Amino acid sequence: MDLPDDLRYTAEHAWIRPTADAAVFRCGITDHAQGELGDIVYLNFPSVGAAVTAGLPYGSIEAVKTVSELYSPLTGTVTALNTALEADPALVNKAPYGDGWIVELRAESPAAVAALLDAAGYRTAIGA
Amino acid sequence: MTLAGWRLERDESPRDGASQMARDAALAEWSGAHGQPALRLYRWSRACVTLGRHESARRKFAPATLAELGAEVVRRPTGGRAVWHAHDLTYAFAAPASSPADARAWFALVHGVLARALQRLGFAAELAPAARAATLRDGACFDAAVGGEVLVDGAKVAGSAQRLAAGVLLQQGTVLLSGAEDQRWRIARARGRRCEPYPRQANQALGGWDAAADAVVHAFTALGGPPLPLPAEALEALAAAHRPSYADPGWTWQR
Repeated sequence: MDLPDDLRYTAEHAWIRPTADAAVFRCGITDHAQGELGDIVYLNFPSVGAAVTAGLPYGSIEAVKTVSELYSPLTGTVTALNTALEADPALVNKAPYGDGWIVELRAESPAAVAALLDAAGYRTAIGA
Repeated sequence: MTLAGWRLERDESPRDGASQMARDAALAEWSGAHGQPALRLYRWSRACVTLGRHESARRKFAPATLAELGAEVVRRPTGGRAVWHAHDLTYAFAAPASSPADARAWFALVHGVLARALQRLGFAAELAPAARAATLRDGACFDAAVGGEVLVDGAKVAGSAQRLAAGVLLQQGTVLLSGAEDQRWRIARARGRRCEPYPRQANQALGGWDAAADAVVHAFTALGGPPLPLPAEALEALAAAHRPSYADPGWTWQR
């Protein structure tokens, strides 16, 4: 299981990475989560500009006939979507921390990121 | 995974598609609130096509054709591809679940129970070997089995799809009692913009709804003990809140 040390995580299997804009974070689901879900066939995105709340669903993902919710790691606003996933949702399986990113969020409180899990904390949370 | 304390609604009243979807959503809500597994067995008041939650229905099916053939169309809360419901035993199962691994375990348990039910009726039911999931772009649910679905004569006769949300699994599925989906389904798909070869289907009828429902209840009981009834009034109240969404063409034809 790949778990980069430079990312922050949530117990709901989201990861976030800072971007050039200090208030904007790129988000996706972890390698562990994509492995648990199996072959991903569809992602249901929010719209750019949509408000999201930490810990609440912001979209859904379908794999092997199972629809699961995607939980936002932060409270804020959606600033970008990875539209490449519309044509190739399996990018989430192939590169969960790279081309398989899902959304970018402008955090209402960038300081909230510090409260998220580090790699060791996420590893503990999933019992790995 | 345990079925201990499981609840049952054996719904003898045929209902329309939107009502069935709403009642299934209510089942999940009730199961989540009470932390108990629950099963509904039901039938349809008329032919109904259920679409998968994320399926591209507008690209695959012509609404006018389905209407002409007398079919209602609804969109499920669960994943997967389209199913034509007519002479089948349809079920919804809900249970606490916190991860995809839980969902897979319930998937295996329920399909094992369905296979044992069909075996009890005298059919050589078996579970499909592992297979890669089909895309949502083409085809229908019964065109192909994924691993763990139920086969008779090598053809899929029972399939299911799931939704995992807020700590509750909802699994919706159906057993084709005629051994094949309705012939009208073939016509509907042939008139659509995309059509694939008609799938292989079981060449024998699997019996009537009552006998199949009896066998499913027996197989669940063998695993979880006698069921308790679901509180019909509570379920009705929850379903009433969900029904407008499932009856909304904007929801059904969103994609």
